[in-house]
Amino acid sequence: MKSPKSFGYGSKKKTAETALVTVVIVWVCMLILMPLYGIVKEACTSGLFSGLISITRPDALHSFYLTLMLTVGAVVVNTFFGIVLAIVLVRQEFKGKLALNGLIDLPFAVSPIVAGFMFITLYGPYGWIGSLFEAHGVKIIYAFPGMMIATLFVTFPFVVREVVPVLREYGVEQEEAAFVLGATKWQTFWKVTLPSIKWGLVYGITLTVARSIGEFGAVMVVSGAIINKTQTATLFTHQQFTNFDYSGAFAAAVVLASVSFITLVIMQYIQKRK
Amino acid sequence: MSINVHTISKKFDAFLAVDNVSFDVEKGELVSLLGPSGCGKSTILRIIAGLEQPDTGSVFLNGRNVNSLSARDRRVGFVFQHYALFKHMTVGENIGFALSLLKIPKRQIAERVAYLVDLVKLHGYEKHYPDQLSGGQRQRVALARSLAAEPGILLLDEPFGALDLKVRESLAGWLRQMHDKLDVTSIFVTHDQNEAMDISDKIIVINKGHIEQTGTARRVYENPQNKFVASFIGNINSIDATVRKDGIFVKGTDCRVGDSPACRDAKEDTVLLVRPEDIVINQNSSGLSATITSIRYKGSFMELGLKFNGTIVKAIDFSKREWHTDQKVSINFKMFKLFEKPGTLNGEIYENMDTIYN
Repeated sequence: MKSPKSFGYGSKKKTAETALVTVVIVWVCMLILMPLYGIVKEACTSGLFSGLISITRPDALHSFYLTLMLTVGAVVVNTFFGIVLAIVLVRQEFKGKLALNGLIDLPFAVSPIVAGFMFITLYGPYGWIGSLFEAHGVKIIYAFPGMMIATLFVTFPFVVREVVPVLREYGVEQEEAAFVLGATKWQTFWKVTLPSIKWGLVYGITLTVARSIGEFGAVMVVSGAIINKTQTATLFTHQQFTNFDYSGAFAAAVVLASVSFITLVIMQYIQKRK
Repeated sequence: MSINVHTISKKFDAFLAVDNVSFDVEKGELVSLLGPSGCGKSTILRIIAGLEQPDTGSVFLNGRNVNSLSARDRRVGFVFQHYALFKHMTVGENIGFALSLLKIPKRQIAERVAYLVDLVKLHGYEKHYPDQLSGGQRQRVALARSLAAEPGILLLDEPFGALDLKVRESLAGWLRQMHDKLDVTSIFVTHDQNEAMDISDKIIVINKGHIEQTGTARRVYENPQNKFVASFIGNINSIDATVRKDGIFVKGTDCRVGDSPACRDAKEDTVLLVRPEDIVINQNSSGLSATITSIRYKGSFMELGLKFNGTIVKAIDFSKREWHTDQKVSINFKMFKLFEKPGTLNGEIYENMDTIYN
């Protein structure tokens, strides 16, 4: 009688699996966890107290406030237009749909710095649209409106890209059912469509939040990073770093990283609950 | 509510999905729209519901033209093929949806939902989500949901298409009972002839967007108006034949299958259609001589393949005698239909039918 050698194969398979898991864990640690640990450790060793003082100065607080405003604005506007665009892209047939679909990804493809320059040429004091506003005393570039536009631009694709596949998969049957059961279009949207795309939307919003907080290049170009005026938290962090205020830079970095981290944790928690 | 469909047509781009269709459904009737997939039967149903607009023609509900009425104002119950349940709502919330849109007290909604849950035998599942139910249970939820606002009309789009045979059969029977109990006018779309024959008062056979025949199950089975109906409803053998003064012959042979019809002239090209159960098999030699080519045991009957004069036909034998392949037997056609070929007009639709009894 021959004994089967399957156990040999089994243990080999097990070794391979363990190796694979190890590689993945080491890679994630090196790439993500270690840098995170690095800034926390640096913030602690370079002086917790002086760091705390740095990030509670009026200019620091103003920068956090500005980041908050930009983030809220980006979430509100992108949620609205993201849903509308996703519905149009999935449900409507029209000429130029393919081109529109491609354009949506443009902010992913264009370097944020380049995007910033695009806005300066358009909305700057001598720009095509900017000069019109300037004539009425409204500043766009080197002011909040410009920063808002830049943030909207870089975060634009997230909600659309997350909602489109969900909407496509879910089809129109449930909406037709609601309609036949007597729901108006508006009722159908609130009671049937929105709950169905909820998770895609939550994920898109999370990514929008994270990107709004972290955006550097485009906002830097259009804001001019004026202290107490147009400096966001990320720009503040960068400035403290270039000014050799390491404790302040790392303290601000820890705050920003924590916010991003908490956002992700909340999202994971919500998704688990569904 | 009665339903009158009057000369409706609908095109999708260049494709003519519904071609000048008219029919009437009396109050309280259960009518099947039966046809192969893609024949336009679902589109007709969606036009009645108001989910599609016809290009021409009108739909009347209770005598009233509803063309300008949107789906939400037609008060029609619609059951979708893939249930279309609201996934984020419980069974109870799904069933109560139509009522929750109206300004009805919560307690009243709860009472109605409880009644409907009872009606579709889903007691104890009110708090479940659609994902937690089997296909048959989901379809019952969909049915209860469509009945919640007491529609006068119930439209069912292949409601059992995605279910197992056993579940399908029991649900179909149950649907018929439900229909009788609620006294609602129903139209049922299906591609399954057994289902249609099982439960409907009237069958409307549809092919390529137009109506081929309307009638009771018995009528469309026993008196098909053309070859399409004959072959779509039940099995049928089609044999090319020639009518001469001295009888009907299998084309190109001297194989006589019956007397020629009295009022019919001799004709070279005709088609003979015979149901498998109308072929009688004998072991003596009175009739056409044939050879058994295949034998399938089907439980309550046997299905035999028989070859005669180069033609193979299918026959059903309830006697369940011990047949074997290559056995020589003789066969008779108890009854068959004779159609004239309409020539080049349309290859599939044969008209001018005679029924021949032997």
